[in-house]
Amino acid sequence: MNYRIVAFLLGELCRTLGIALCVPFILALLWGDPCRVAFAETIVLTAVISYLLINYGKADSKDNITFREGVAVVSGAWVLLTFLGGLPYYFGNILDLVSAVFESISGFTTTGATTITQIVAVPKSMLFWRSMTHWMGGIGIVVWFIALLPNLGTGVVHMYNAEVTGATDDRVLPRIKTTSVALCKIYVGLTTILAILLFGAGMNVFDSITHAFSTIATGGFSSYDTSIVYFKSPLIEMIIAVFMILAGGNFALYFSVGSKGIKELWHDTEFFSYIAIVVVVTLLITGNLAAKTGMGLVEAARYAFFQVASIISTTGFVSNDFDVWPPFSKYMLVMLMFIGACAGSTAGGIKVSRIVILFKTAVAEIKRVLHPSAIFSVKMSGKSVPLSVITGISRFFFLYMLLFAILTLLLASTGLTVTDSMGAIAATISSVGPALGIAGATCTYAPIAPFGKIVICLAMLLGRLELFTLMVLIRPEFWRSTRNW
Amino acid sequence: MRKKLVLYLWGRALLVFAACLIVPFLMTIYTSENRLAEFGIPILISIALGKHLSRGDNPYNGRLSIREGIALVGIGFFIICILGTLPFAIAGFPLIDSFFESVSGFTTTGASVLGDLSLVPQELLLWRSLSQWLGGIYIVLVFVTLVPQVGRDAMKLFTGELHGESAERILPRIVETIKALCIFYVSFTGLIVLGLYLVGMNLFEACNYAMTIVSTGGFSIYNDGLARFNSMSINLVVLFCMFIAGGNYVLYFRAYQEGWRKLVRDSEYKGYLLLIAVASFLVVVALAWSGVYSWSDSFFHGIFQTVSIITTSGFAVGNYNSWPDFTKFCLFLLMFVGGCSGSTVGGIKVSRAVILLKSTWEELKRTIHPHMVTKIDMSGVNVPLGLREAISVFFFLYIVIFFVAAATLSLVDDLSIFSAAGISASCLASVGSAFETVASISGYAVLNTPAKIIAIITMILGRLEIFTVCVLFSPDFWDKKKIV
Repeated sequence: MNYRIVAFLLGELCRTLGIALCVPFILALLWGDPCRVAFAETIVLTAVISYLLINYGKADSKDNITFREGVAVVSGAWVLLTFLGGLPYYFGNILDLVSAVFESISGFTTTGATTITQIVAVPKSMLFWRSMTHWMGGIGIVVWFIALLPNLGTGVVHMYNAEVTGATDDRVLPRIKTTSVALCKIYVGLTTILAILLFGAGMNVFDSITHAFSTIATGGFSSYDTSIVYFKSPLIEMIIAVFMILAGGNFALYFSVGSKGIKELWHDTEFFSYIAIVVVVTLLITGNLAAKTGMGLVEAARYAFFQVASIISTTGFVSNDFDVWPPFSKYMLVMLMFIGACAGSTAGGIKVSRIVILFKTAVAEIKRVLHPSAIFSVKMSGKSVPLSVITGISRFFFLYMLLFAILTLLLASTGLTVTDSMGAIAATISSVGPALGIAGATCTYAPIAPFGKIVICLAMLLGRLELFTLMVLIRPEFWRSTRNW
Repeated sequence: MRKKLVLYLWGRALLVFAACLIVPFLMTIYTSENRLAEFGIPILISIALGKHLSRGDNPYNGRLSIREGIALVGIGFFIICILGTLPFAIAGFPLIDSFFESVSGFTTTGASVLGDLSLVPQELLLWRSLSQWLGGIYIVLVFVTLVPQVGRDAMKLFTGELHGESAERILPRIVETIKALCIFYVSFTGLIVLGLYLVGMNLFEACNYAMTIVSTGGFSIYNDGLARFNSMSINLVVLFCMFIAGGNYVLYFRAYQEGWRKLVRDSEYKGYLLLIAVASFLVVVALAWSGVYSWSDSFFHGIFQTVSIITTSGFAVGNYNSWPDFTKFCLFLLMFVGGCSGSTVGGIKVSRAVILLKSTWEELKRTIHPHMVTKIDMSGVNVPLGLREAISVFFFLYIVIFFVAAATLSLVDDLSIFSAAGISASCLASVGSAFETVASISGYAVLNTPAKIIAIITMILGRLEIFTVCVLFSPDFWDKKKIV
C-alpha cells in the first residue's frame, strides 16, 4: 500500500474539515458564545495535523490510488475526522472525551444518537455544528471532497465506492466527478427547499436550517430535548415526514427523474417497494395503536406515519414516545431499522434493494427445488441482477446479522438488559438513533458505560460504511504490501 | 406425481405408527383399564387407515421424484402430528393444547402446555416421551436417507456428505445406512436408560428421560424437571448424553467403521466442539463474575445450560431466567446455531454456520481481489457455489420467519419483546425453553390460543427445515401441468 498518498489525501480531508469548522466558529464569534475558544482550538489542531499529513505525503501525490488506498483513505477519514469533529464538545466542557467522540461519530454517520442530556444548556453554535456534521456526513465526506476539489485521477472511483451506499454500481453519469457534483446539487437543493418550507411553517431561522440539515441527511439531531414533539405542529411533522421519505430515496434516481420524467419513480423496483413498505407498516401500526392504546384513528395515523418515515429513513426524529407503544408496533419499528431506506441515499440499514433481491432469490431457490435444472434470474427494475452481486448481498446480510449479534453481546456485557442492548445496536448500526428502553425515544445514550459507547461507535461506523469497507481491514491480504492482483 | 405410491407409503408408515402406539396402550392396561380408549381409538384408526392405503402391490421401485419425496415427508409429518393429538384429546385436554403437545413432541421441541404434570396420567407422559423419540428417529432417517435422494443442495447437507452422488449409487448404501442408524439410535437409547438407572432413577423415569435426551427433545415427566432428582451424577450423565446426541449420527457411524480420528477431522464436529467451548467459557465466566453461583457451581450450570441449548434439548437445572442478561443473550444466540447436521437437533446447524462464516471470509477476500477464483472446503471437500447460495437463502428465510413469528406473537398475546423473540427462536430451533414469560418448558400454558397456533406453525417450519414447507405451499407444487 502506498502510505504516502493515503496520508496526503487524509491531510486534504482534514483541511476540508478545518474549513468547515470555521462556520460554527464564525457563528460563535457573532453570537458571542463562550465555546468559540473550543472551536478555535480544534481548528488549530486540525490545521496542524493536516499540515503534517500533507507534508509527509506530498512526494508521491502524482500516483494513482488503487482499491486498497481508497479503502484506507475512507476508513481513515471516518475515524480521524469524526475524532477531530468531536473535539469541540470536549474542549467546550460539554461532554467527556468518549461521549464527545460518540456525539461526533453519531453526527457524521447520520445516526442522531445523543449523549447530551440537556440540549437547552448547549450553546447555539455548538448545536449548529452538531447538525452540520449530519449534513456533511450524510452524502459522504469523500463525496464532498471529490465534488469540490480539483480532479484526482481515475483511482478516485475506489474512494467513491468505498463510501457510497448500495449493492450495485448505479452511477448516473460516467465520471465520478460529475456524479458527485450532481449529487451535491440535489442535496443542497432539497435542503434549501426544506429550510424555506419549515421557516414558512413557523420555525425560526436557526431551527429551520438545523432541522433541514438533520432531515435531509437522515440524521436526527434536533435542537430540542423533546425532538419534534417540541413544535406541537402537525404541519411541521408532515413536512418533515415527507422530506425524510424523500431523503431516503435514491438520489441518483431523482437525477434521472429530472431528465426522464416522473414515471421513472414507479418503474424503479426499489423505490416502489420502499413506498409500499412505508404504506403497509403505517397502516399496521395505526391499527395496532388505535386498538391497544387510547389514541383516536387520526391521531394514531399521524404518529404512525411520522414514526415510520423517521425510522425507515433511519432519521430518528420523534413525534411521540414510541417506547410506550405496544410491543407489536415496536417490532415493526425494529424491522424498519434493519431494512432501512434505498441504496444511494443518506440512510443506513440493510437497504430496501438488498431485501427485495434477497426475497426474489429465496423465491427462485424454492422454485429450484422443484425444477433443479431450470435457470432463474432475479430482476430489479427489469434488469437481471448478476450472480456475483447476489452472493455479495447474501454475505452482506449474514455479516450484518453476525455483527449485530456480536456487538449486542459486547454491549450486554456492560450490564444492559437484552432488549436494551439489541435495541441500541439495531438503532445505531442502521444509523437511526433513538432505540428502545434505556436509550429510548425520550432518553439519551448518556447512562451507557464508556466501553458500551465505544462498542456503539464501532456499530455506527460499520453501519455507515456498509460493513465491507471496514471489515476488509481484518483480511491479512489487505496489509500485505507485495503486489496487486 | 404418483399419488398411489405416496398413499401406499403413508399407509405403511401408519402401520408402523400403530405398532408404536401399542407400547403406551399396554401400559394403560397395566395402570387403569377405564382409559383404554386413549390409545385404543388411535390404534384402530391408524391400522384401518394404514391397511386401506397400503392395500395392493408395493408400487415402490426404489425411486422417488422430488414432489413425491416432499409430499411424503411434509404431509406425512402433519398426519402423524394429528394422529398423535388423539390420545391427549381423548383424555380430555382441549383440542388446541393436545395438538400443541403432539407437535411439540414430534418436532422434538419439548414445549408443554399441559400444566401440572403430576395430574397427567402416566401413559400419556410415556407417550409424550415416545413421540419425541419417534420424532427424532423420523427426522434423522428422513433427512439422512430420503431427502438426499430427492432434495437439492439445501437439503443435501444433512447427510454430512457433500459429494453429489446419483441416487442409483447411494441406494444400496441407503438400506445399510438406515439399519445402522436405527441400531445406533436404539442402542444409544438403551445405554442411556442403563446409565440413568445406575445413577439412581427408576426404570420408568430412566426410559422417559432416555427417550427425550437421545432425541434432544426436552420433555420432562416432573414439573420441576431434572432439578427434582437433585443428583449431580444424574445431571452429569444427562449432560454427557446430550452432548453426544448433538453430533452427526452418520459421522459417528463412519467413525465407528473407520476410526475415531475421523471425528476430529470433521469440520462440523470441530466447529461444534469449539462453539461449546467458547460459549460455555463466556457463560461460566459471566455467571461467576456476577456472583449468581460460586465458581464451581457456575462451571457446572454454565456448561449444562450451554449444551442443553446448543443441542436444542431445553433441559434446565438452574433457573437461568434470573441469570445476568449477558448469559441470557448468549443462550438466545445459541438457539439460532443448534448442533450438528445429521442429528435430531434443530436450528441453523453448525455446518451451515461454518459454511456461512467461511463464505463471508472468502467474500472479504474477493472484495480485495475481485477477479480471484476462490473456493471453500468442509472436511477437505469443496462446497459448490449452488450449495452456498442455498444456505444463504436458508439463513435469510430463517431470520425472516423468526422475525415474523416474534412480531405476530407480540401482536396476538402482548408479550414483551424479548419473551416473544425467545419463544419464536426457541420453537423454530425446537429447543423448548425460552425467556421471561415462558421461563420454563411448561410455561407455554400461559399463552393464548392464537399464540399457541403461531408457536405450532413455527415448530413445524423449523423442524421441516423451512424449504420443505415453503415448497409444499408454493403454487408450482400443486400445478399439475408442471410435472417433474
